[in-house]
Amino acid sequence: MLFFNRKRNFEQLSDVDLVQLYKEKDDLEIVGFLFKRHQHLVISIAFKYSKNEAKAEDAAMEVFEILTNDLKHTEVTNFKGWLFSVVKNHCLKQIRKDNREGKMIDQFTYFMENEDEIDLSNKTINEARLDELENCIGELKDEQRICIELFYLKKMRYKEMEVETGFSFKEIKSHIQNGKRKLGILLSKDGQK
Amino acid sequence: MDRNNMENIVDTSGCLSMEELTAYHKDQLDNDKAHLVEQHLVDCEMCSDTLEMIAEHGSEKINHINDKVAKRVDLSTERKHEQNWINMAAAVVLLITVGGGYVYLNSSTDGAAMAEIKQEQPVEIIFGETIPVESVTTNEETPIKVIHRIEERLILQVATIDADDNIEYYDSTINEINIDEPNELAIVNTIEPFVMDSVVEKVSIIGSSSINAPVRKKRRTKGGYAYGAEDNGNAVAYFPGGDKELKNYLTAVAKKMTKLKGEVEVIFDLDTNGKIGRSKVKKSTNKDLNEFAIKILDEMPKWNPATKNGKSIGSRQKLIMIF
Repeated sequence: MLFFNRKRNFEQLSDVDLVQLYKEKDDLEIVGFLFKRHQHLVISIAFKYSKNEAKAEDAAMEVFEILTNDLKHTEVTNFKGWLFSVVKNHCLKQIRKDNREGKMIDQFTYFMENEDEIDLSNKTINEARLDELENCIGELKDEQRICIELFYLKKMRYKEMEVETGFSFKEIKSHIQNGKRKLGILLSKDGQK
Repeated sequence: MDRNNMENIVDTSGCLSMEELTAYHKDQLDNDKAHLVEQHLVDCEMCSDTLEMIAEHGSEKINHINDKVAKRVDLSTERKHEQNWINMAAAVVLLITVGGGYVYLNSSTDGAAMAEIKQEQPVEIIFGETIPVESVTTNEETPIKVIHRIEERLILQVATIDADDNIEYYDSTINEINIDEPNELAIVNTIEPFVMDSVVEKVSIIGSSSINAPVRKKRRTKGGYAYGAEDNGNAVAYFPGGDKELKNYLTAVAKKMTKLKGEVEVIFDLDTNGKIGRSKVKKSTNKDLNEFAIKILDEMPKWNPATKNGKSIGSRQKLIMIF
């Protein structure tokens, strides 16, 4: 039965589980499945960098090759983050190769802003924690606090927020991101007290 | 404040599918779902980029590339399954042209053609590709068609691999080749039918040399070719022991050096003594392998030089190393 259900089993597994399974079984089907799950993301990023369909396609395949090799001996706890950096590095390498003067590099440096992934998820949420969170939100800068409150607590859409706050789309996004990061820092400080 | 919604701040969910992103872009989602998408977008630069690309180029284009890549991934996972024998040996397929002969090795990643092969008669093989042959039986003549870019008439070397992975080599000559458009994929005339006298499971075209080299007769050999001055004192340069030995040698060395995978195409000059002179990497799928390829060339033993009218001459060789 196990044989018949193999494909379905893959679907239920998380990225990290699949990586672990690949390490054990060394089966390309596993890494193929894992890659396909994120394939459209990889392609889009490659397309964004290379601005060329064929190059994006090749870059995606090269990233797949990298996965088949590197996943065997890399400790991956955050697959998405790891994959993003692999794709990004590969594309940058490609651009440097195509454009020796490095003129184009500058416009891509903004990618670095979101380098470290905000990960609050491992912090268990209970009532006490929520109180803390509430206090911490109060400590944020006004624009961050407003955006976080509107977005998460009032469940507003970006479009509505643009009207409500007068911020642009990009500003809203950056306020929410920075606000979240700040919250993470504040929460871990409180946790140490 | 709404406590229920507060938990959303710490929720980092999985990535969005192409369908979800497209629907969000087209504003087809209801407010709750759209908000979930936006929550994810805050955290996920990859999905944000994908959405940006969908907005810029349309989802059809991304889907189009998506399909192509999916096919290629399928193919490479399947093929690597099938061809474990080749992986185990870290196979080094080689291709040598001599005296201005030039063969373009078709990208072995082109999957579409491979997939169609099984149904067609005669069998079509992309140069350098290995395909399973469904029903080739003893003493059955099997015409093989080769598709690749060429500029000269060629002798093709055909290898058959039987169930026990024994490799047998055959030579076969292409009679006519359309070279009007050397940059196009030319469909080459069927090469002379040849007889395979064992049950064959896979057929692979593994090497070629230009017609300027002496024509080696079609024959079955064991332990490599009888290279040398066979024809009016003219002979191609060859690795001691022939292509088979070269393949074994490269396989062994490559395996020792690195676990990286990829293909590197190198050109190098042989002097009249068969010593390897200048060498350089021409194409490479993995930059990190370049130094290994050059190192392999540096350490490689002397070749037997090409001869013309009985005299040793220098020659330029091309070699594709598959790590």
